[in-house]
Amino acid sequence: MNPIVSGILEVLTPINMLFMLAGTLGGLIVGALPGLSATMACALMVPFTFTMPPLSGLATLGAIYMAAIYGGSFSAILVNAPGTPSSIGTCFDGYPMAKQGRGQEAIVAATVASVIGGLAGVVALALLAPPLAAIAIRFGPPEYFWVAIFGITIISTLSAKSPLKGFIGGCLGVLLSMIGISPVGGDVRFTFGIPTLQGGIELICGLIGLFCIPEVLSLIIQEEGEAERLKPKKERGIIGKTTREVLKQRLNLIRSSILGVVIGIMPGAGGSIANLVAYNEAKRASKHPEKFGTGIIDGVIATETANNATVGGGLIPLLTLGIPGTPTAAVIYGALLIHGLRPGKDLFTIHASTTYGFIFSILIATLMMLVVGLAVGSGLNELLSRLPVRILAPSISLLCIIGSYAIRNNVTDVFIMLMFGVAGYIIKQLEIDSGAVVLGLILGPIAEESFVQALLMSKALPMPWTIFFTRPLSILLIALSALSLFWPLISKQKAKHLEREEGLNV
Amino acid sequence: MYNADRIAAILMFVVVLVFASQYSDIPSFYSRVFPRSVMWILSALSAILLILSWIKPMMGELRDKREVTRVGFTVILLFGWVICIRFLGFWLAGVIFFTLMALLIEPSLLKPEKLATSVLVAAIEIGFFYMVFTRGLNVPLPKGMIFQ
Repeated sequence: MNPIVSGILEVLTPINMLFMLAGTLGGLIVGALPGLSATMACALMVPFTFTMPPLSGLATLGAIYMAAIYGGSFSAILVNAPGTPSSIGTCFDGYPMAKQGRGQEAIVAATVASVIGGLAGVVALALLAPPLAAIAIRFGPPEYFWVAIFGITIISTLSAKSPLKGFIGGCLGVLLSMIGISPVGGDVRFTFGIPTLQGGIELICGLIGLFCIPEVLSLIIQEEGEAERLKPKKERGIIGKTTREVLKQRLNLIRSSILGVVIGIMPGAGGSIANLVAYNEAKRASKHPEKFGTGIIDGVIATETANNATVGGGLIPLLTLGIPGTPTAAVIYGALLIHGLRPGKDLFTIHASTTYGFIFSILIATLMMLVVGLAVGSGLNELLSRLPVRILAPSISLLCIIGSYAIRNNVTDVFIMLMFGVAGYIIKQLEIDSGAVVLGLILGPIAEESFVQALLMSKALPMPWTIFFTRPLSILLIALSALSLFWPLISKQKAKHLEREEGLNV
Repeated sequence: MYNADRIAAILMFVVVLVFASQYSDIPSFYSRVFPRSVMWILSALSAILLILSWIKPMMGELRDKREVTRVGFTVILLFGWVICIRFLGFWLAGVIFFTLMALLIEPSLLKPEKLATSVLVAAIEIGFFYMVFTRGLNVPLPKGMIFQ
């Protein structure tokens, strides 16, 4: 029998379907809990897959991965706490939607977009794996440095109200990300004599602190009368209506899917960057960018499509070259090796049945996510909207504490999270965007590592710094960064020009 | 009203100074080169913001006394919660501070009946998460010095 067909048939056996369903549900719950990431969920599950047949084990891990990335959107939408770093951008519009009583709509949009993004990633994985992986290996340290800089330029759109303050927040994030051991020199720096800081600041702690604690403080200062959360708007046929609305945004879906796949392929990048880049691009392409951040469905669609597309994208370099595109893909790499499967040509020839079965299982898990996600999501939305603030605020605090503790089983991380929370509240009062700080925290290590590696690479050149400006891919990325940086100015000029023309026509 | 831009700029200068105070301890060039660039960029951006704070300032509105008190108490409660986890354990510290926070939000809960309900809700909710994390996800949560 054709190995592709036999792989697909093996996935469809009841026991494998059950494993995938359990993986989807488990991944969804883990993803929704702040502090527990898709990587952690897969890492926890790997030992359980030892005894399973290779395809069953991989199918379970694939389902967990896909569902955990999507699950992060629940807490992002309902309590402004991104369950995983891949859902940071979902907070920007998802939470305002929930505050307006449109939580259900945001969840449906996130679900449908995640499914579409997930499917796009799987299709790319099945069809484009070898050619895309070949492009990915042409990226060296100078290109990665410019990728990080391109990511940072997103701030100009993200903090459109005050780009200067946005960039200050971004630099602050980058500076904070340098606490601990330097990635290339290996020196301990900026630890202020605190040994725990040698391990650096955990991104999740920063995320939880910056996004959730200011929210808890805002809830607590409300007057008792207004301290009731807005009730969700009951609307018949909301699933169908929102699904149609999501499907109408074809360009947004295609653009975000492509971004997710491409960023997923780049080792070290992943969903945490893809969702922000997709949000930025959706905002830039929108006819009404000023509405972004106020509770617009476009933002949720962009971030959730992109982050789930990184799942398939991240597996492309893993399966073809043995280079994991995302941290979770690295865990799956371990699982592959445990089952005696070496990434590369063999996977698509000798073990083609298992490989194509695995790819197909991710597709099935993505579809399962639609049903499970909608059921769990609407239940959670209903539950959270009924909770009074006296329970909601301490509950969010509890999740923040447990989430930041669970990363390394360390109370110091919880203190760091609280400090970030207080700092987040202060910078919110000073109108500095927390999203920019988080972007700096994410991109700082990537930028520094590639910057120093590129400098080391160029030691033999007469002018070492030129390495950043002479390679063709670097030049392309510099051009993209410049475009991204000045886009708000360009679009303002465009809008003024259009207004003037309209005025003349009238 | 306060000048948000000026405060932000000064705060960032302080942050740069704090980081700069540690800079000389870094031995290797390759560990210093990137932080130095970022500190210079942050200082330059903060200087621009400081100048702009005189030309076109962004003003923030001062919070009233009640709000400041509530925020202050909440922050103290949150830090107290985390400190007590080491001694009382995750569950007990959680129940105590969860209830205290609920009381801060709704002082009318101080009546015995309402208070008992609030404690029960906290105990069940924290117990649920305790079980999920310790049994389901194998994340060991602190039991506290008293109960060890």
